[in-house]
Amino acid sequence: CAGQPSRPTDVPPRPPRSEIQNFALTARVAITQARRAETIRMAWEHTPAQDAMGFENSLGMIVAELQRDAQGARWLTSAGEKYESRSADELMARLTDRPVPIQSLSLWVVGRLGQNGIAKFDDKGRLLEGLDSGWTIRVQEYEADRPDALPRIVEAEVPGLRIRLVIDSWLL
Amino acid sequence: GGIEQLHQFLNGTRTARATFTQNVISKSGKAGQKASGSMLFQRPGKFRWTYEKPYSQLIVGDGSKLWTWDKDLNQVVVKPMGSALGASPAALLAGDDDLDKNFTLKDAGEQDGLAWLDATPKTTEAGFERVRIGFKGGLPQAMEVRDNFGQTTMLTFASFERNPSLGADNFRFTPPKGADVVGE
Repeated sequence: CAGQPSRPTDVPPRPPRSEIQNFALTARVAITQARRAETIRMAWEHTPAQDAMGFENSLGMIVAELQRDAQGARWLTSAGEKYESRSADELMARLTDRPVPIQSLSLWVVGRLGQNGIAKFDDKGRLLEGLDSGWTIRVQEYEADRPDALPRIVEAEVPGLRIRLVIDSWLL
Repeated sequence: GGIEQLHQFLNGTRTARATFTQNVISKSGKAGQKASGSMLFQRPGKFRWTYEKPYSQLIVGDGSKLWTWDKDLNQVVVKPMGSALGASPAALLAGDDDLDKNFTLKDAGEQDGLAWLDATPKTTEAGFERVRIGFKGGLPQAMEVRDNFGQTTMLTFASFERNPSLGADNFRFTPPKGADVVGE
């Protein structure tokens, strides 16, 4: 069963996972891949229509931003460079050496899988581990010991790349 | 002024110890995350930057490599020191002539009882637009780092000790048992 360090009283009641369409989170992210590794902070605002991801170093300085909307996706760097693409997933490869499925990631962080995902649940009916579009997903910790709790530590892995998120704050 | 106090500080300081608070202010003026911890440095180029709140993270510059360890993430990232400049202001204060060599310095007058200086990187590789350092009594009391997206990190120092004796172990990093160690 996934661990729960948080004090349940701090965590407000959460809506059913399937109803969570919009969220904002801050997290610390460990990106581990063959040739390099990063520990970075992420501020992510997600809606079905838009994504805004800010990547910061420990000092709170933004090192890159990823934006997705109806016009496509843009990656902005702290050196003032701008890269555009139809897909935000492709632009994530500027940080992770390979594309990352942002839409799927927005499900995994709330403890869900895509339609074809294969899931294993814990004794509270929460996602514990799963397979989804070739990625292995593990929820290592929830924010509280309750069935409606949101994930606190989530890991997404494919051969050669592991992304581990410690979610520090949620705003729904 | 600020520059004079900076040079006095750099010339007269081999080691230092202080606590710090860190506040991030977004471009729109919204207060972001608050953090606090402690820092040590030994010139040239060695420093230990410890975040105690809101989470546990440690950044050590051992003179040749930069080690970043996050307890929750259970990962140690090792990088060449070159990337230290943007990772921690302690790298600025601990550098031997980093500030003069890599920055354009300008006195920025008195404010809040501190003598300030502006340091603007000479290249875009620093990853940020400008640093302001505020001095009082020859010691750094505050630093403001403005990144290239308009976000500002405000640091205030307290209990600043100049030239305490610091064991060499402070600037060596031994990865904790079970942590992933990854990097160059």
